Amino acid sequence: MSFQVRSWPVGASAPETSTEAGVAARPPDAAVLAAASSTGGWSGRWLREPLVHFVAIGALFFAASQLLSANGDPRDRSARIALTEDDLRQMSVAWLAQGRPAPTPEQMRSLVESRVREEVLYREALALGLDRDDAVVKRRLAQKMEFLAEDVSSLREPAPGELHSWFEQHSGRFALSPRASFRHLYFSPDRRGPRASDDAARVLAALAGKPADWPGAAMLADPFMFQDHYGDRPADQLASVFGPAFARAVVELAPGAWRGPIESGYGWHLVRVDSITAGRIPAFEEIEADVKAEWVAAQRALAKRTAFEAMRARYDVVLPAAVASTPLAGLPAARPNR
Amino acid sequence: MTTNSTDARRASTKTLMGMALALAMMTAACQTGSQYTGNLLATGTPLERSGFTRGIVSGNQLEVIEPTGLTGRLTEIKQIKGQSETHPTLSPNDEFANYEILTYLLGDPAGRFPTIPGSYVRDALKTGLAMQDTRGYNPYKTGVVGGSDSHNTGVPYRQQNFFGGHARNDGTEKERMAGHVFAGLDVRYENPAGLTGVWAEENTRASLFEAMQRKETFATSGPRIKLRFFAGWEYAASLVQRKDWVKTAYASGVPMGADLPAPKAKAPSFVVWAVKDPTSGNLDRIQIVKGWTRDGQTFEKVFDVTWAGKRKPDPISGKVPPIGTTVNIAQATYTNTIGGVELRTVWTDPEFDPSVDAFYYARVLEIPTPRWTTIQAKKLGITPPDVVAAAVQERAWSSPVWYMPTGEARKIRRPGTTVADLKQKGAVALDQAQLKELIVGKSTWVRNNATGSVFQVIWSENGRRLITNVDGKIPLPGQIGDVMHSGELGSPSSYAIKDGKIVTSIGNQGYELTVYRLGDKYFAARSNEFSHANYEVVPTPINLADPGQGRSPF
Repeated sequence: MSFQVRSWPVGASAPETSTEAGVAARPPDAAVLAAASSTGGWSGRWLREPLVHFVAIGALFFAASQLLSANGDPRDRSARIALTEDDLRQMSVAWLAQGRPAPTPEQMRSLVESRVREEVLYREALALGLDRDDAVVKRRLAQKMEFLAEDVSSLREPAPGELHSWFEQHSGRFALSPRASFRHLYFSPDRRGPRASDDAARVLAALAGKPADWPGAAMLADPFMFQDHYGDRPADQLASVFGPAFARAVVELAPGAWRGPIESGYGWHLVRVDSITAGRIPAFEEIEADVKAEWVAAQRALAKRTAFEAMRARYDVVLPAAVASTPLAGLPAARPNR
Repeated sequence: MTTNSTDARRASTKTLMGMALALAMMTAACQTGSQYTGNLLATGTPLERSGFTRGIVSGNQLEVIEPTGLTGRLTEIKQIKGQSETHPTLSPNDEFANYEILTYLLGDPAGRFPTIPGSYVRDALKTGLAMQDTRGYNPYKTGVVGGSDSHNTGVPYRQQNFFGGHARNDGTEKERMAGHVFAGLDVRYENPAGLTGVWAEENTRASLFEAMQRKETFATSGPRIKLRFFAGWEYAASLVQRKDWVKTAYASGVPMGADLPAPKAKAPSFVVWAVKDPTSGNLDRIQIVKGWTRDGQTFEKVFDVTWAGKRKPDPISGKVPPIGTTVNIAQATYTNTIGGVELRTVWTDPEFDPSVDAFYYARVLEIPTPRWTTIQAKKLGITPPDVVAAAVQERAWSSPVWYMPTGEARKIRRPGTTVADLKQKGAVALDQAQLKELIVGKSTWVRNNATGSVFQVIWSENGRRLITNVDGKIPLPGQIGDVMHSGELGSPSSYAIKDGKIVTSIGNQGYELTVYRLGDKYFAARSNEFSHANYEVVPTPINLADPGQGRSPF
């Protein structure tokens, strides 16, 4: 090899660096790690705390990498690529997972070779320091840290009653919009121009006293391009078909008679509502699974935020004086890294 | 958008499903794209030389899905960096082509300029036809979708709520309106994202995927316009008056994205239907865009097929006059007092030639509405920028339907002259010295034998070339061939004679010419006309009034 390979033990601290944004990192202090070892005697609340999981898993990774790096001269290790039987099995499972027949010995050899190739290039790249100051690598590692925080938060099941009381605090986000069943008559501006509204009002008068299913009604109006009857449709769905103003108006109508004219995004309508189901907040039991999904998402967001805040607290952010005195939103936009 | 029908049409027809879903998918795909050329095909490299370039659509490198269709099955025709349907210089007779044009390379790389030919969907569809005709395969048989390329978690697809596509990098409202430059791009040229409409049996992943596989998709520039398009041989002109017309359209024809079946009539008919977005502008018109090919050359025409109001087509051009405008630029408002809610018709191609490959797609236009820059200028109390249009006509595009002649139908056509034909007759390619002798310091009159049009080329002593006359007309930008050839400005292109070829360009699309002598005649073959030798040196014409279709001289 014609170039100097530099490597240092995995897990040992890299030479001091400062990022291009001017954020100076200070090495992690021991306090956070110490918290992990002292959790044993704490209460269940602490055991459920995502930040504790996060730190504990971090500590495990750290310990494991320390162990590995203590295992012989790092330079010898970096010149050796060992694949275990488990690795090979995993490769063949990944191959099968793509719906292909089992790999032939030749295909297996080629799989192994491409794995080796990737590992060789990866190590050479690390040795050359190609991972440093690389926006993609940086973004990916930052993303992995976020996943880590998310993963530990999903380990926890809600305590008895916790979900219910959380639902009560956040019931607004489970509200169901009102639903309407109705038929309508359409008065098309394409056919009637500005008279459409007046025509509809005249037809409304003509319909007075006629039975609900009077067959002559359709003859007085224009063909509509979608449906003449909508059954049990939520207001938000009606809004996407007719426009929001029409949807709001329809769910306010008293059932049982032709009413209008009501304007939609397409023209004018007479509407006869069969029934309205008022908007409501469902009972907890009806939507327990949805509540749980929302709760898990909320926990995940919280865990991510808490973990980040704890990490962020360990850094001093140094900015040019001119920028530091104004809000960050005033920063000039940078060229994208892609 | 989900028009989830519970009625009887469900079984036999397809309903519009998953507009939002497809939008999300395309957005995701865009994020993974590694390269951005601003347009369809990587820097317009002619297919001939590059092998089969994959479509690179505004950062969205499309997958090669089927071995015979070498570009993506679906192509993004509109996103926040503009539309990729066509460019005014590629489509000089399409007065609606000048819409959200953004000619720009991602990151504004130093020393490179964007290339218009080879960068737009209509151009690719046409090239695909020429390849089908001359080589027997069409790698550019693509349907269309709309997307965002938004780098935000939210996608701006409304003029009324445009917040840029690159998060903080596009600047605040005030910065955007001040012509903020992000990665070499003036943010004012960005515009709302497109949407994809998918016609599927039901709102399930499998059904949506199959619909995309068969290209039964359309794209909009942002509004939720609904567009249907069918082609067949047996549609009655009154079909769309019937309540169950969709069922019949499916039963006796094919929907967007498909191939026309074998002819059963003199010309194919097309059913088009569009309904406006209930929260956006009314509709102006539906057009059908036709592309076709002959002798390695390609052609296009836009037909107005149905329109709102009582406008009459121009008796000579056949074009329907503009709808007018209700836009108040200072107030950034419009009214739906012009235009229509729903447009539908059955149209039969009046110029159908069963011996040539063709495609057809529908385009529906809204009435003019204020662009986001006009709306935000009003909000900020400033004058709308003059670098972009103050009002736009939002639109939707269907995936095409293709017509492919049978082997027998192809034979009806008078065959063009190929290089092979010439050689078989004993023609010999001119060498370096003979080429110099023929053109350098001369003016030549040449006929495009595929179209019959006649034009004059002046070849200067110092390697410059100017076209001065096409069928008696002084050529306007874009009138000759595919792209601007600014003969009217007297600004020439360069040419050189190298290895027995004339090396030159039109616009910034380079190509080569080989000249053959057969007896006392000279024929030239352009390197991008698929082995055809369409150009013949002719004597100075006595009159020039014979109308032909203006098409690329060499």
